[in-house]
Amino acid sequence: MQLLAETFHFISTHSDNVLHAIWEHLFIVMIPMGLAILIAVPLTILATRIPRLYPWLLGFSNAMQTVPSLALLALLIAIGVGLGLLPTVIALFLYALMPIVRNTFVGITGVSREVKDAAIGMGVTDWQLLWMIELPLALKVIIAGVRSALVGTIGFATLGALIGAGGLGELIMRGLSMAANDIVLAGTLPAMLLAFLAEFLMGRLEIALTPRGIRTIKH
Amino acid sequence: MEIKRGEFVVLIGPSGCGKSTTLRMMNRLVEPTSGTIEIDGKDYKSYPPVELRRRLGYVIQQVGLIPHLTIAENITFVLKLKGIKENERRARAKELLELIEMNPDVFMDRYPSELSGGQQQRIGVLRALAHDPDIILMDEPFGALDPITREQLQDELKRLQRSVHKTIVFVTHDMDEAVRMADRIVIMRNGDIVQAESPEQILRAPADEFVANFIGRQRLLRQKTEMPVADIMSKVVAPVSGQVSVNPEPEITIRPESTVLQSMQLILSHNLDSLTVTDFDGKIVGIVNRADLISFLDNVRLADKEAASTKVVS
Repeated sequence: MQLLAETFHFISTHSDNVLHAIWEHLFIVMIPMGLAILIAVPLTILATRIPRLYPWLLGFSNAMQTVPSLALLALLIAIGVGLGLLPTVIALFLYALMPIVRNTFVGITGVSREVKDAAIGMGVTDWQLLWMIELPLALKVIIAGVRSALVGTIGFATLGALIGAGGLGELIMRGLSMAANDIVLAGTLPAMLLAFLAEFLMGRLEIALTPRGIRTIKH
Repeated sequence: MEIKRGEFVVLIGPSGCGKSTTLRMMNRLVEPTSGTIEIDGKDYKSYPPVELRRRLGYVIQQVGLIPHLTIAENITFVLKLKGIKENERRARAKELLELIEMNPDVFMDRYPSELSGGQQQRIGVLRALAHDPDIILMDEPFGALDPITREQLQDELKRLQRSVHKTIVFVTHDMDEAVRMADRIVIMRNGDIVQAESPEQILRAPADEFVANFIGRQRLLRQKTEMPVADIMSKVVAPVSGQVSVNPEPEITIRPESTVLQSMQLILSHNLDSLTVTDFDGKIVGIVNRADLISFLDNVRLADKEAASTKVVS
């Protein structure tokens, strides 16, 4: 209880520092997430059209997730990417690929055969099939993939502080080196809150973007 | 093979005979390895696939309504592809729903998941009519429905076809359905057409043993007793006036499209010697005799016994 009070005291007296760390953290998360969505979604859609592409794409993104996060950072430094923001962004980007790739593929290929068959039989072009049928029906699943990537990325981003990328991890590192638990918590609590908030907001987004006709499916 | 404008053609055969493939070649979902298809005398390859499909109507067994679109949007999907404005599309959806007596105010803005299977397939059929295509392709459209709903939809489709005059190519494996619906039945085996004639002709004179077995001996029998009375009655050429009626009870009459069996039942229940056949406005068109009827039915029974015994011997 006393620790918590100390933590809040620290946060209120160093609110500038903490807010800055939160902004920096969001920045470190948003860049790789944006890139991952922009690159992984179209690439995976391409893979639904060219099936032999998919094992490569999934294999690569799987491998990136399997590498321990700290090892991935170290690896990027070792191959000469340097320190700071750049290797962190690259590592987070690689780390975020897998859930997005997997869910996009499952979402698009999960659209029922007969719906596609009927649509093609009615004369949709390939683009119309994607825009009017597959994407709206797959959106819920794709968003769920983005959600799990985002939550993971928010946590992983705290490690960026180890190589000088800033963010909430920096508060944690500083607290640890000073053996000041209140500072550690001042970094940990906002990071946790961000993850919860992301989870919650993405869940709402998922519902909002699910077309009305498939929200409740009666049997 | 040629299909005439406004004709209702049913492709039928055992599974794997190529009936669905034939249908799917017509809208270029499958490309033929050889041969060609012409529409209005033009090689269908001269129409790009997408354009060709928008000119045709297409109904499949699994319905395939688009789950995130409303009923109105589903019905007019092809119109949307063609760039028709929304208020025109809604008007068209309304008109079509009214055609099959589904209340537009209730159904227009519902989603497919809120409809029963039979309702969904009705929408599936309307969807194929919305853009007013000349030709509609139907791939076992009623195959997944319960028998009662299926019969209702068959009747509705037949009625609809009479009012909209579309050319319909219809695939089924159900001979009852084929007989009910078809102007012409095409029986297929291993990708070949075995026989293509009217239901009556096929039932009376199957081309070979395969066809005979496929349509079933029992059906032949049933067909004979369910033949319209008009086929066996003695025709009355000149209209007969009331006072020379041979029927002691002139109010008991039968319509020419009633079955042989029905006329026999009527004769027996009223103990008549003959039965007057009258058309819809009461004009006498023919007479069936009790004795003739009995000998006809005896022959049918005899033929059946013979067929059964030869089957046992062979």
